[in-house]
Amino acid sequence: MTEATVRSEVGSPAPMTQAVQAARRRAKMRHTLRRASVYAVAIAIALWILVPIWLIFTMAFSTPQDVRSFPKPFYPSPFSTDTIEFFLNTEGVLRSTLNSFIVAIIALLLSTAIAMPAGYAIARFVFRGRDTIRLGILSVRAFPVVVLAVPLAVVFIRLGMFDQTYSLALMHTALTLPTTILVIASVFMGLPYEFEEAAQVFGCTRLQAFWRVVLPLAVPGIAAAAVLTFVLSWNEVFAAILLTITNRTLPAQILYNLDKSGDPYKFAGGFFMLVPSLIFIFFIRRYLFSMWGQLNK
Amino acid sequence: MKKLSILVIALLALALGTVVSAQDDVTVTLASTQFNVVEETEKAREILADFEGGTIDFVPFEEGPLIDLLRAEGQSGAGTIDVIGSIHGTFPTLVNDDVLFDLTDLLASIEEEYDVSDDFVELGRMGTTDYQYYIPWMQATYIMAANNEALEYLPEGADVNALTWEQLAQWGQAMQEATGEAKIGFPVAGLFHRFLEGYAFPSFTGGMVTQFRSEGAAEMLRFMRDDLWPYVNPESINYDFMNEPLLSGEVWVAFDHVARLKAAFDESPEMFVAFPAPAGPAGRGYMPVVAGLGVPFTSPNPDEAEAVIRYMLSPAVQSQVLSELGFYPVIDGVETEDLPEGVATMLDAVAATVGADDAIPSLLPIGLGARGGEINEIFRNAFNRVVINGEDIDTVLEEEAVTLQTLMDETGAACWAPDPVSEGACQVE
Amino acid sequence: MKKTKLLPYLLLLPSMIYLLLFFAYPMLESFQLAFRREGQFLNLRVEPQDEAAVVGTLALQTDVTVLERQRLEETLPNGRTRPFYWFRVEGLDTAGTTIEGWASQANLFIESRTESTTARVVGGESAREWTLDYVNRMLNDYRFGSALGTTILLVVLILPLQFILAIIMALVLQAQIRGSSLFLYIFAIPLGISDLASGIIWYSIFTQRGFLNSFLVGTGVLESPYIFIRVGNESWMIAAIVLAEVWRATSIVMVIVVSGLQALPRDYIEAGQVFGANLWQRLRYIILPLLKPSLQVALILRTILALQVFAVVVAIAGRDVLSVLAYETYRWYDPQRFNSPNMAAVYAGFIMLLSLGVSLFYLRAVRSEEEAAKLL
Repeated sequence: MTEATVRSEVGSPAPMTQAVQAARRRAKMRHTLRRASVYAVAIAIALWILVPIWLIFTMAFSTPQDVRSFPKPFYPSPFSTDTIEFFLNTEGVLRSTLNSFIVAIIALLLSTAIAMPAGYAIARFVFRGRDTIRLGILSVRAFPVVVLAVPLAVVFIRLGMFDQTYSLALMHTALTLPTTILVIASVFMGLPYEFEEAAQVFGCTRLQAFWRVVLPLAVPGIAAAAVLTFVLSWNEVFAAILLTITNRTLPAQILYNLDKSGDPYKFAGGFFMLVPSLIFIFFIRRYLFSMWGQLNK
Repeated sequence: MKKLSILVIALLALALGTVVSAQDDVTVTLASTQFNVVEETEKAREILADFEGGTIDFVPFEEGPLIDLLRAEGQSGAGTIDVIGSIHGTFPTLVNDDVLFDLTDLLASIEEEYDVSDDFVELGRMGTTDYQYYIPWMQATYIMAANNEALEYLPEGADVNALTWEQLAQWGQAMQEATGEAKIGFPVAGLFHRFLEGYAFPSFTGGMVTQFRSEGAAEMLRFMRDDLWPYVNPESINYDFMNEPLLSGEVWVAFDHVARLKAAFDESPEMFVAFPAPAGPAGRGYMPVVAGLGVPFTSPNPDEAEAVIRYMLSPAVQSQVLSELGFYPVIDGVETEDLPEGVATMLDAVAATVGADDAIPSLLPIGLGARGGEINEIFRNAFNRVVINGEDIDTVLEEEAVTLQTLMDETGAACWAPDPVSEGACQVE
Repeated sequence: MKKTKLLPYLLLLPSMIYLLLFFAYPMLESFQLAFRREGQFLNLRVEPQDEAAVVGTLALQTDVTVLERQRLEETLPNGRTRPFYWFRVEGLDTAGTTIEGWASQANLFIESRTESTTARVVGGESAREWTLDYVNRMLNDYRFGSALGTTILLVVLILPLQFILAIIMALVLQAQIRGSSLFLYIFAIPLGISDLASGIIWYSIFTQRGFLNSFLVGTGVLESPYIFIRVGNESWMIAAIVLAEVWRATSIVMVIVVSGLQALPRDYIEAGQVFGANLWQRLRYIILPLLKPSLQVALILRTILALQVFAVVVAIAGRDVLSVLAYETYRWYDPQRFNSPNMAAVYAGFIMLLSLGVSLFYLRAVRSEEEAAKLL
């Protein structure tokens, strides 16, 4: 797109001969066409993402009869909350939703609390073994959940911690910790060190400088990292289904009931799981790139 | 001084009285591997709420964790569980771990009031002559259910109550020709292994483990693959409970555990009929499921535990369990006249199954301990590989028979019905 | 940056301890599960007491003759007593010699404790031994091959589609068209969608009475619904899974690519424009080579995640139909089925080996070590 703009600008000071005018018209045309095609692609991709969400929304807000019907409606007609109410009133759904919240909140708090000092250390200090530690944390991030869940289940049974929301939260903290450390490190890296230095010049201790100057500036970024942790924990299902039986989280409960239940339950459940994520991603969207951008450096 | 001592004695008496009355309201923990689906748990709790000798805390468990917990409590000597309720297949492991009281005396005193089924009492002794490891609690089995609309396609001369496998296949074909859809359904994602172990194999071979690679078994798999499966709804691979597909009309004829068909019969009793599973060349295999109640010797309240068991065998509770949870009584004299229509229909089919002339009772696998799930996978593997993956029947049976034999040898499990009693580990012929 | 000696280590300590506790320790446990087996044997004692000296050992399932019995009363913490029997038994040990000694009822199966004259050994002390049985069992399992095959097939199909789509999405966002912040939000939505939800959504599209059939039948393309998801129709099931995964997990690749693009020196790209390179040429010769490190990060991350694909498969294809490695792990672990953490640990270990292998392969593919370090 900018290519076309550049060319037309290059051509503008020259005398307007017939040929140049024609060339400019063509260029402008090409420019418009190119713009239009970028829009077309953008809209096509947006539809590719939104249409399935619309469809599951349709299912969640149709009557159970419509959900079972064939051919299915492509929009809720009539609009009805029966299906989603049926889902929410099914035994175990509210409890597992509560469990999911508890697990995700514990994981969020714990992982942020542990990751914050580590992220700060990586961002602000030069020390021996810094790169090794960074590399170590990064490779842990690439560790399969599957590999950890099985032995942890065995250990938890042995320690009497099996089937507890807090033990699953501990596991989720472990899974999200590496990402949280790196994201928080990148948040601190994004803040100029001069602020802290200035504060220290004016008599603050290092801790005071951190507390009064750095932390307030870092809060939005750290909050975004925390939300990301929440979403990861909220969505995690493999460890959840291995580590809990009576205290299942929402995804584990739905997965367990997948082939024991009808379409209304499944589709309403699918939509219900989606909602918090839609909201949270909306709030942290601005931070996504800066978080990842720092990671790659 | 005298007044003071009277006061002290009065206070002591009061305190003692409180203790005694507090003891009246003990909480008895009942750990159960049955009714561990949430809806069922709620119903079971409601039924048990009427117990007068205390409060029953009904805790649902999976089998593996329950066994682990009892083992751990047995080793430490201090326990939390008063009564365990589980199917017969759980008990051999508990017997091996030696964690259960002998309930012979309790049984004798219960039998003064109600007559408990002798066959099940015998099972509860786990092969011994003088040690009652569990007291039978309730029973169930698997039956077939059909939508009334399906009945008009029944092959000529066929009686639903004495169906053969051939006739079932013809029935499926007729329904497919009429509706264009495969209308037979099996819970392949559910308890399908019980279908293979207790119905398909016994009715073609007369045995379960011993006849695993017999010609009858090969014929059964061929029949399933060529004659029956073409008329089985392909979505069967995703069915766990058959009540949903029956209710939605996706499937017209289905096989499943009574408790997993119950919702359909409760919701629309007028829509369905129930009947025994079909018979094969060797007879009509069926699998009685019996659940029992045991008391671990680590129980904190053994007396109350026994009271709970006595309570659970009372006709009132047995009848409630039947009408609300779909499990059948193990004692005589339970009122069956005021049952809901759907439950009554199913009860008739259960009675027809048990009482059939050609019935081959096939027990749940016994004595495999913690590896009880493996035998199910072996039967499923044999079926999946032949019917679903299209592998060669003889090769598959040969290979799976080796795995089955290894399992039997490693666990040392002796044969169980319908296979003849064996010395030592059961042998695949 | 400031140089301090101890502080950074102190700040890192909680994280390191946590990660060690939850990664290193389970790994050790996992290794034990995969290669050690619990064996059992029965020690016969000189006297009817648990601590008495050992006479010899019998294997499980040994048949023994009962020579003598002793009844003890065991008092339990709940106040009751129970009869507890010890038996003096005779049997053949593993070497084939006849030995005799005392064993308790806890380890013997005996028909009648008061009368029977024979019994069988059913319990005893456990002993751990090294074994490759579990590994062999996995390799010989008939589902192993297809699970591995399907998993790799999914990786091979999903990754290229994801990367092409992610690069297109990134370029669209970079074009800075009006409304690009809205598009950014929409493109990022799938980041928060779980694999299970995605599986359910695409199941609603592909199931027999689903949206795709509703559309095809509604527009008259098909007379009656086509059953996409069924046994024997693996290609459609795989197609549905691939679509669900591409739909859900492309956003994370896009985010990495956009971050990479933002970090690129603008002069290079502008130089390309000045010299009249078209979009494809710029992509091929300037942008992609510069993006290589970002792409490789994304590649490693996505491959490892794709090797663990689980909930999408279960939601779309059902439980036992299409097997993938992560599902096999769960199947062996499931207390209601195999109940074998050992086999589950072997499968999990195999997934881990694959992940390591893939990561090393990608690392090798990068030339300089510096780049490799940057990449991880």
